[in-house]
Amino acid sequence: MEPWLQLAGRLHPIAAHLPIGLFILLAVIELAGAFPGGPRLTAQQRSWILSLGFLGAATTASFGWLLAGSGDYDDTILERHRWLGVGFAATTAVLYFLRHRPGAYAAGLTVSVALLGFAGHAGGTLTHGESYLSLSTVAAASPAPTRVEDTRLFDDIIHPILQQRCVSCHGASKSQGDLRYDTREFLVQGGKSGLSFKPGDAHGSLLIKRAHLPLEAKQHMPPKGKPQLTEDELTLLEWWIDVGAPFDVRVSAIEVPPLILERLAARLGWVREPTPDRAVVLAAAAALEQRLGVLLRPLTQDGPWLAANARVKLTAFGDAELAALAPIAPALYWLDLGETGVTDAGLGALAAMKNLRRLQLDRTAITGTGLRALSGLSHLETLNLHGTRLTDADLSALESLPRLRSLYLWQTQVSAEAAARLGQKQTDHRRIARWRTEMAALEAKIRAETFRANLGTDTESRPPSPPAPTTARSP
Amino acid sequence: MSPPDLSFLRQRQIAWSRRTFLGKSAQAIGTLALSSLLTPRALSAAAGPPVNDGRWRGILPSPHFLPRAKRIIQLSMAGGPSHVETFDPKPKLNALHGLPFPAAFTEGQQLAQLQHERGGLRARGSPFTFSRCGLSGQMICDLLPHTQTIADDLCIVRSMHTDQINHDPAHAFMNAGSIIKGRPSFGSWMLYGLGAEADNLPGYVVLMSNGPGNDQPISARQWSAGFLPSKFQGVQFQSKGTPVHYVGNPDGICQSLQRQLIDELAELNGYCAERTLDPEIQTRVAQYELAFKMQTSVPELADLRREPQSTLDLYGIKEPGDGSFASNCLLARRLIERGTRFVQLYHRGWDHHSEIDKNLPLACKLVDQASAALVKDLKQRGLLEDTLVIWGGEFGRTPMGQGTGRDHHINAFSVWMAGGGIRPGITWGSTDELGYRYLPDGQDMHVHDLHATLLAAFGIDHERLTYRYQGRDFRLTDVHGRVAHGILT
Repeated sequence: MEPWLQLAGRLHPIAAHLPIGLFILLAVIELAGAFPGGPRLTAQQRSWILSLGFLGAATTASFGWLLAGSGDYDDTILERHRWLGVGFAATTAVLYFLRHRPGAYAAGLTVSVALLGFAGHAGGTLTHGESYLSLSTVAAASPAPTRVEDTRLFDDIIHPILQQRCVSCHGASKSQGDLRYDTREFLVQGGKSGLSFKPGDAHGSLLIKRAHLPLEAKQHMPPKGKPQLTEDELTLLEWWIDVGAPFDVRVSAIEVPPLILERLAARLGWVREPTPDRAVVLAAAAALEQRLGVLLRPLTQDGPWLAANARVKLTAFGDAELAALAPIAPALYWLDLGETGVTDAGLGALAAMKNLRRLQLDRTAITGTGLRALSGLSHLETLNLHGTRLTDADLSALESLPRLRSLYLWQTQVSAEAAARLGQKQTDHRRIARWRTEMAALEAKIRAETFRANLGTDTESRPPSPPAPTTARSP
Repeated sequence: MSPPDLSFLRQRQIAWSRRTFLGKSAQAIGTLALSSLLTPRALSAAAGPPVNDGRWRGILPSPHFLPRAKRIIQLSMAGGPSHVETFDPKPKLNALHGLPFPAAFTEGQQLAQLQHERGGLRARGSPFTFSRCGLSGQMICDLLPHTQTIADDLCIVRSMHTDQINHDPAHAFMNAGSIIKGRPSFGSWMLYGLGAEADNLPGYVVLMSNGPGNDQPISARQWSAGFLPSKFQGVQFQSKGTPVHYVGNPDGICQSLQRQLIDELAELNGYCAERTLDPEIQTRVAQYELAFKMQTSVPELADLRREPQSTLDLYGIKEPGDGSFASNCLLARRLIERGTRFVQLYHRGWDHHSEIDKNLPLACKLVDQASAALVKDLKQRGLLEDTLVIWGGEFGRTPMGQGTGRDHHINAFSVWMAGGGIRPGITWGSTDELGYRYLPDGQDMHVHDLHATLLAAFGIDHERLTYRYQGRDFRLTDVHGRVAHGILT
């Protein structure tokens, strides 16, 4: 097909809205006119609206005909939409000639608006998929199970992602590339380009490869302009494929890395703690500063986040003082308890400091028992435990910290092996490997963009004429 | 001499005429009322109950954005280390050694003392070798074996450039972003903006150590607070003996008597301040109070005997408190631990105009181990997370020879940074094949850019930390400065 004809075809969804609007307007006005005091159209106005409506309908129908030739649409619905649309365009023409005979005109208008409705719905089904306009899919996002571990990996997590991002084009009503993701059976079958995924190998899976292509790439999925997979959704899909793309397991049956667990929780609609109110936090912080002698500084201009330094008080700051920080607990970002008198008994107060990023507990009397209070600090990135009495066994309490990236263990009983083991668990090597691949691709781009001239090393045979050395570049 | 321009006074008069005053007051009261209606707690919180413990908390109520660093140690290699012999290897320059320096590089440019070099400008290669170090594979000269071991913690910036070619103005430029006297130094700006966490030690401390000889003097104006209140100036500690002279009480005076004396003085100064409104009186009161606290804090700080032998060995300290660079590095760490915001170590002995082949290895040996030890020590203590360490001179040295040495050079030099929100293990920016000039590839770093970037690591927008003086808002970066976001984490 000629490119401009294809383009005209793609204008179909835009053009469709003009006759829809015009005829609904016309029907509403005529209906209102039937009542006393309602609006009355003059004959001339009516002719104008009908002519414009017919022109719009005819144009839309012909554009649609062109579009139908190019797409991979479900045949049944496509044919229904085609003939409903053409029928509607035809009734508008008939209506024009009936405009002076009120009874026939009213009947004709009713028929044409009805046709319009059915044709429009069929068109919508073609674009968005069958289940687009049903309560069940809108409500599907709400979580049924209450604990992450109880969820079914495929049915509750993976399938809703595919349903939301892919099925409008790869489903029952429209299966582009002969690919369908609406049921498990079709998902395993793959499409024209082959299988969608290789269990155990996310990188080698077409589904993941396509999602990672640049947005501009023709083969990128979902196509540019459609809602894209979020980073979290993609991560979950990759993880699902990497663990073997199982269909009938519960999350509890497999080992879930902490970061994935957190994403699962987010996916299931577990709402984060609300952000504390800046004004309230600052007022409380000023009062606490006065009372405890610690330093409490806001970290940003707008957020409530605080940096707390209790080290200035040394051992005068103990468990009771730590407990007194409760009013500002959710606002603490950095907390320096190094060299203070806090003990295991007081660390329970840390559990409420959900937003902690940096925590210093170096040179305190704490042990592994106290560390358990940290298990819920899902944002903690830096933890300083240097100069404490920790041992290898105590590190297990830190395994549940998904974002822990630096841990200071100098002058403790912890062995290098135990630290390395924890590091192994904390790091998502799969994602790092993926990013290395992306970096290699970027480096290849740089190589492709770099100009290199090679004049050889044999300077003797070159004519000696240019006086300036070839290495010179004007500064 | 023409009379000073006082038109701004007239403008102010107009701005505060009775009518303007009444109009503005009415508006302001209205706005205030509205805002308190909208956010009832905002006003009370903004003011907050004042915490009066004598500690300066900084002019900024909060950083402009999330900070990464809290403290900074600057290792100022005074004299200007040669970049082509430390962090910027140039094989092409070595190949041209002894040959005329390509004229295309230098044509029409000012060269300090080399302009009339006998026999014309000649390229001078480096006799020293470089190695790829650590996992990051950064190139570091083999004269710095200890620094090589921390390569993966370093961000090496090769594209530094400055405006000043002589030592004193170049130091001033590096410190204050200007050579004009009366501009506050970087440390003073930091203290003014953020305050310090220590209330018993100065927030900005300067230490000095010497190289093997031919040292240029460092003027005390380098750590001046300029037009900022003088309590923000750097306090120089003596490297040898007691860091602060006369910090002990004279015979017959005990601590409680001293306390009474300080309190009486503060009261008298308070009367004076009420009458004259001179901020310097407040400064004086604060300084007396600080000095009193330092009577106990400084002896404790300077007592390096408390450090275990392993730490002294790490830094390579022969005699604790001997005034060496190594000893100062350890003292810097102790200051940082106690809440000092900015410690600046000047180490002299990098001005290698002659016999660079002999003197550079000596200079490197004096600083290499302790610089690396400082980074390692901060790191094992977890302090490198929020302490930024920066190592470098006030300018570089020419890739052209000056007899047996090299001259000052402003178009290219190298510094390294570590910790405190700086991306580790990267080399930023580059110079041309002969190390003559930075490449303007977007990674070039003028001194103003360095200042802007350092402030950004502390959460400060360099365009918004200002001080009004003589009718104008001043800032550290004047009207320049571009943050190198690529080196920040």
